[in-house]
Amino acid sequence: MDRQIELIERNLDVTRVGCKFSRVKSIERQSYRGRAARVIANGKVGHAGTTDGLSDDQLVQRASDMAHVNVPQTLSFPSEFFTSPQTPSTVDQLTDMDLRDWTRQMLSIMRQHNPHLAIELNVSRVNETIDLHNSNGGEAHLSRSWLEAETWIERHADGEVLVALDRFATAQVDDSHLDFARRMARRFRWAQKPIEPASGPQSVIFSPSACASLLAPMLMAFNGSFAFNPNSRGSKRRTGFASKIGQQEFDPQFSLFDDATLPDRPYSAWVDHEGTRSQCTPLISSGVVSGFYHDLISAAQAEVRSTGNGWRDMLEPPVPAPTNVRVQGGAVTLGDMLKNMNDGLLIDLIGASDGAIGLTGEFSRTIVLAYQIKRGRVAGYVRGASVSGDLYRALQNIEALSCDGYWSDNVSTPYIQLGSVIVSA
Amino acid sequence: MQDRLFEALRQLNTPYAEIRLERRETTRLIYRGDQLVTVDTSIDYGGFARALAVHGGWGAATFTGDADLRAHVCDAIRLANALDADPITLAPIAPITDRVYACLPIDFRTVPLSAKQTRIGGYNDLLLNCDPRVESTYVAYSDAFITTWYANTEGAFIYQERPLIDLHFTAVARAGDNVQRGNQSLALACGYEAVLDREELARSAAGQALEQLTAQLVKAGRYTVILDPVMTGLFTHEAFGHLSEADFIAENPDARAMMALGRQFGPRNLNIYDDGAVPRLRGSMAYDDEGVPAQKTWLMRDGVLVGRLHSRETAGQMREAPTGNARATSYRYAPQVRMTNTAIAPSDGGSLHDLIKDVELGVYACDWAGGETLLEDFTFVAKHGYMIRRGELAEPLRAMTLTGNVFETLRYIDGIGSDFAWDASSGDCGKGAEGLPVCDGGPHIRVRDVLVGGA
Repeated sequence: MDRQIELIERNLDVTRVGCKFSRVKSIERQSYRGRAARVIANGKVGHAGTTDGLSDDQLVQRASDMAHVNVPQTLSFPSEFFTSPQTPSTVDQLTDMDLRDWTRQMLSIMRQHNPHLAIELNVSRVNETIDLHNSNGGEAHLSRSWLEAETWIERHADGEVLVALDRFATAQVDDSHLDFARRMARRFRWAQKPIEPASGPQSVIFSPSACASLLAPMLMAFNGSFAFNPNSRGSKRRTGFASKIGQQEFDPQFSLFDDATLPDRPYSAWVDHEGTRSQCTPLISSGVVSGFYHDLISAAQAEVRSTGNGWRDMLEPPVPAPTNVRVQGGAVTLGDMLKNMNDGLLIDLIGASDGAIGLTGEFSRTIVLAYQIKRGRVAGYVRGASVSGDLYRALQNIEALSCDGYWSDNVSTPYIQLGSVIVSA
Repeated sequence: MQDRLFEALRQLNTPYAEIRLERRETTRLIYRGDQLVTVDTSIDYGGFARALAVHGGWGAATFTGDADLRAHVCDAIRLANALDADPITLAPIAPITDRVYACLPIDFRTVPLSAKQTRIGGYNDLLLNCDPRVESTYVAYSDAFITTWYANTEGAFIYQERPLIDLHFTAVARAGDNVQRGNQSLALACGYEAVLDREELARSAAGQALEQLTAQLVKAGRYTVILDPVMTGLFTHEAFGHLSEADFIAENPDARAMMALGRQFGPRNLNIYDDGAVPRLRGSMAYDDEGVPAQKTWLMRDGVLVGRLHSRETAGQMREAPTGNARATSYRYAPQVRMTNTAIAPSDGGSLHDLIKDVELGVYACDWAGGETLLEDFTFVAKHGYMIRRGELAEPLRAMTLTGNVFETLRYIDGIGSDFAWDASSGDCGKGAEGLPVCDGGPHIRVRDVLVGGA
């Protein structure tokens, strides 16, 4: 019998400091040890995972019992050996008390200009180790750490309630967490006077936080398992952007990458959860559709090599997932963009996606926080209106890209100015 | 297990500590197009220990397996003592000892994998072949059997079994460059019998995708909107339910003033409740994750705010009674105040026909695709809908976003139907990053002046 076996052990240690109503209230330590087996037997794959005390043999047997899924005959587990460099991360050096003090520091900055803000803030340090072996001789040993924060801030004043929420992550101990706190504080400083926006098509600047949310469905369209769908009516089919490789679909200013090789980013790693070396994968280069992110199975289906994007939750099989996603910046600053805006909106935060998977570029989102710009200055803030349009069409004609964007969780974009979006109030 | 848990909690230097162990055995099958793409099984077993510091603040430790339980409790106490937090007072409850067993007409753990594959594959074939315009499908089945053991230093011990079963159909239809999706799902806390004879549900996913090929985007603007029972449920959950979770307001005087009991929020025939004890719904359980019995809690009676949802901590802070709403996503998480099954009660508005007959121009919004709330501002997305013209349903509409302020919208409800349905579709409530099974429902309702986002 032709049989390949993969065994993986993943250890995750998380320490989380939690604040409610601007006060540190809890500290939590999470330790998980999950193990999984994947078996390919005669072209069929099965998977089993556990945090219970099953032996390797029991796990392999359970995975073999699950082996019902056809995979391409060319699919083979990697045979390379990878191990993380043994340089200890600065994040590892943080004690629980450091984390608590970090959290208090962020709270202090967020409340600097308005001590009445009600702040919910969770700050976590995550340490992950992976040990992977397969029957082809492949081995991977990965160790990485990062910090992440999520916050929800309320301001109740004059009968108006304003909420702002955002996320942040870094793999280095520097001042970027303070920049995040300052950005949150700035949102409330700029949001002084509520204003009703004009309805209709208009030019809009999206902040990196808003862009990250707006791009989420589009990123699904660059997932190799969605784009290269071999399953429809028995024929190989390329859907969405997969049928447009090499075509100029967007503005030449627009370039989009998935990059797990960036230093000090939380989703960077030498190797993915299948033992494939990580890389930088151009998805859109100067407006041209140029690539997709793949795990082993989707790569085999698309007849390409895995891009090192096979990531998994503790107990589930790997799936293609983005790592650090970045949009190439432009030449102007946000200040320049605002100066040139006579009458328009800077949309800072938008509501979550509706679960779309990027089949089309249509979107309709609630404006959580935007600023009305008049003659280059913030004239008031907007919340509760909606913004809609066709993202793919709008990205064909980008009005401006800034050079001073930031990371919002795992996505870094510049401020992006787009025409052809519709604001409804 | 009861003895092991009590032994781990014996003679600790803490005002309060608890342990919750959970074992979750899961099987999943997923078809995409005409191929089975995932078959996997997992056993997830671990625990959560939590303790209060003498001076205040929670310490918690989560872990896999069940070794060294006392060490995990001591770790939680050590972490709690590292904080310099305000004191926490838990609302008192009588400690309960109970064992709650699942009673499944067809236990999915006894159904062979091959039988599950045949059934789910059959549904997938039906969906894939029902119309030549259906070019792809996504059909997913999962079952999970969850066992929990809970004990605390007050002497409570509760053993609970909970089944969850989930069936999801998505059809992708194409006409030229126009690609649209339709989906339907079913998620219940019951046995394998729930997924038998579901051909109609599969066909309706395809029907929805096909209808969307000819549907239009609604012209953005303000409309009178009729919500179907699924959307009513989503509105109740997103717009009002989250505001009723006491952890939003317990420590925030502004929010407490905004959500003062006795305040008139809606019309006299508006009644809203949360009920964790409805059989078979996925938001139901016998006891919450602090050992408090599930119950029916009225949140609004006759348009007046009369109650809210509590954990023991928020109930203690607000000097109210716990409501059995402290729920944890799994052993990996601390319990938070969460909804269970939340609904608007039916009233005297009659049928859908009765509600639309006087609407000159409006929108009928059907079936949820997503939603979120930012305190008083909410957004929810309907999967599809219809224009209402001169009192009749007219052309089909694509997915649309409904946005509003909850207090204004509650005042603008001017019709509450006499029908009622729970939404038994899959989909979790995401509070923070924690998805948790819930259910919601209600009758058709009519709301004036809703901002609808579209073209």
